[in-house]
Amino acid sequence: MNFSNSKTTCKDSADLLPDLLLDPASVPDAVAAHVASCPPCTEELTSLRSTFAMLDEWKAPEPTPYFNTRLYARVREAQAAPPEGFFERMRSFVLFSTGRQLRPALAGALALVLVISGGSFVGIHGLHGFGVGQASAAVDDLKLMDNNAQALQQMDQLLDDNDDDTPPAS
Amino acid sequence: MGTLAIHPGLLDVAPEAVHLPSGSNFAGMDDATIMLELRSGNMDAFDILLAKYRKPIVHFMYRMVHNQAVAEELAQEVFLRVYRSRETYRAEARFSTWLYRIATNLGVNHARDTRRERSASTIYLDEPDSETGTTPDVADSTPSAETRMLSRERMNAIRQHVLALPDRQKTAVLMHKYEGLDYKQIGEVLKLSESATKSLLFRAYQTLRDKLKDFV
Repeated sequence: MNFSNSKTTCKDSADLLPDLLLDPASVPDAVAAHVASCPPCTEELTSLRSTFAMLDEWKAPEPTPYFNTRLYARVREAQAAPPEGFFERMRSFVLFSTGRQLRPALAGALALVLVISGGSFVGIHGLHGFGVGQASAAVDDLKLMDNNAQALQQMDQLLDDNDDDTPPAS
Repeated sequence: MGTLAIHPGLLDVAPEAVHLPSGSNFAGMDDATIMLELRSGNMDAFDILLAKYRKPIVHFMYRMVHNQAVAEELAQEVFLRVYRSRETYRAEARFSTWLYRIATNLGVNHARDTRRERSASTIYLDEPDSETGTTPDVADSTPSAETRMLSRERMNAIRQHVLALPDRQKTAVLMHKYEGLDYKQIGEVLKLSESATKSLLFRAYQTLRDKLKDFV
């Protein structure tokens, strides 16, 4: 760690390196002064700036002269075509919109749809008689037998208790 | 008997002049307002927006897909979507942000759909490179051959390493470095905060610095 400046350290410079590279005007003078006087920090920033400058060499070709002609032909096709349906427009809106303020509204609408559709689902089940408790007769019989067995066990326990507590009748 | 001499250049197809509207005055309008004009049915507004953004969007798409024909096709699709969405357009964000959001989605989708095809790139020895304008010199003994080969090698390295970045980093670099968008706009396109955008960009430039250090 190099402390070339009494207040600013290399760590401070490293933290502000993105700003030094991308937005130098926002960097405090002390940090800029530190970087200027600290060889490792200077080297780090210089290498980033060199890479940044090197990227300028990547040139893109100009659009061809027929770009507009082809585009206008496609626009004319779009004009002649029937208007997009609701779902297509919604899809485009969701994909390409940047409206952050609409997100809460969309989340609320989605929640409402889920609540309504969930309620409808339960309601439909109720209407069509697909409710819970349509067990077969065999299962009902087994449950009944199980209940009876439990009841008999409990009665036996009660009788045993009574036998212990009460004195035998003469 | 007379002779008619025609300049060869006259026979070339002249670049299409930008059709400037005569009926409306767009001089003082911002892009969102011009878009609202298009929404009200004024096709001159579309011409204005096209003239302003055609080149940046074609360049952006070219760097996304690295194929001029495909880039122009996708750029046309961007403007077509602008036209189709004119009635649902809301001036809630800057027009350019919306435009780059459309372009980014189309570019990323295309890259995803053609990932396998792109893995086997082809170099044509008899066709000039669209960026450098030079053909690969396999056994050229002229003094400039080495320089040109080095230049091409640097260009290929830049292209290769930028395109190899994760989608968000790549898109952010293309918008920041080559299209001059600010953090706020890039953040809106990528749905990130300004600080997250700055961090994303810095990570991308750090990666590029490490990958390209041999060429700097």
